[in-house]
Amino acid sequence: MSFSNDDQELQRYVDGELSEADAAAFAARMLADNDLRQRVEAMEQIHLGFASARDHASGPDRAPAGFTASVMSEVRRLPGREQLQQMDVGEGLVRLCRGLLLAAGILIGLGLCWQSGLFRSTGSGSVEAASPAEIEAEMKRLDDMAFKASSAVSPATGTEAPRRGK
Amino acid sequence: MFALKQRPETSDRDLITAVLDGSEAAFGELVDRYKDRVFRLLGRYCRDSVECEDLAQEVFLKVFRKLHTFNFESQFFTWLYRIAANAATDHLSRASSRRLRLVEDTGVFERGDEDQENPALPLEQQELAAAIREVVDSLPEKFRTILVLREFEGLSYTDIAEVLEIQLGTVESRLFRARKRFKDAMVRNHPELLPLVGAIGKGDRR
Repeated sequence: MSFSNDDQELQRYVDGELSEADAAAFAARMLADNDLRQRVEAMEQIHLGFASARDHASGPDRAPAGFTASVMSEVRRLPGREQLQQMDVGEGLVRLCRGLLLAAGILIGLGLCWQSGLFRSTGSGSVEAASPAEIEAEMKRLDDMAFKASSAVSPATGTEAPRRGK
Repeated sequence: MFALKQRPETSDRDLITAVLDGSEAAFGELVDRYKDRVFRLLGRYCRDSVECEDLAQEVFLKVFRKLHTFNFESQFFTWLYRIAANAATDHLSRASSRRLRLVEDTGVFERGDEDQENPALPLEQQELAAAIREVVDSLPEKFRTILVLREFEGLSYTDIAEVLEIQLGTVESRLFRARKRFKDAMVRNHPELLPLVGAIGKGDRR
């Protein structure tokens, strides 16, 4: 879904995020533009629907009595600030080690793929970039492959194997 | 002793500095200052008050443990909200096997005395509020969070950007998409309630 400049301005207007001058200019535009006014009204309705839901929420408006005391009793069980900072550094180191291990794993995997020839290029990579000699060599390689394949098939099927090119 | 110096005007910065210097009382003051807002936010994600209290406690303990990493470049409350929003998201994913809903059942939470009776609240509005919460709950997490922060918590675009650590432009486009998805889902799932939204809007404007 695209988010146009008009959408942006409209939303800012409804949310009260436009400056006074911009809001006044927008309101003037709205008076002359029926479609724009309808879009604003639609968005305002959503906004007011939320306001109604917020006002009639059944969730807690405030923390229960004794909440602070309960938090503070847990806080007293925590290690001192210095130790917390050290733990933070420790956690950072663990994260760093994990990252390094992951990177090492990826590198090893790539190395294995390279070694097994998955990434090995047979030439320049594209016909446009290849030299005539490379094209010739590639055609010969393909010819050889086709010849070998047909040689393997011909005795069984009884068909004549194609003649090998030059 | 810090406790003796506590005044309503003590800034968050002074309290944080005091906590980092070893004052427990200063942290108690920070908890007191923000616990209601954290509860309200987490209440959008929890099913009952016990779950909400556990999660809120987890949030404040994390705040205490990580306070030395707060660099004063953002407002403290947006940093706190970030921790709370992340805790809520983690909580939701931990509980994803269960169907964890935004609180919609009237009476699940223990309410204050002022809301116990609630005779003036029209049934239609209760229905609409429940439907809105159900639809918000069904949205993907990133859309739900941004709607909660904007529509329920009333945070500005700048504050949302700080809480979610995203660009201002991303806040605006994500919010727009979230509202569009919300509206589509309302049309799809609760078309009969849509006229009520308009009616409430007109009533509120009077």
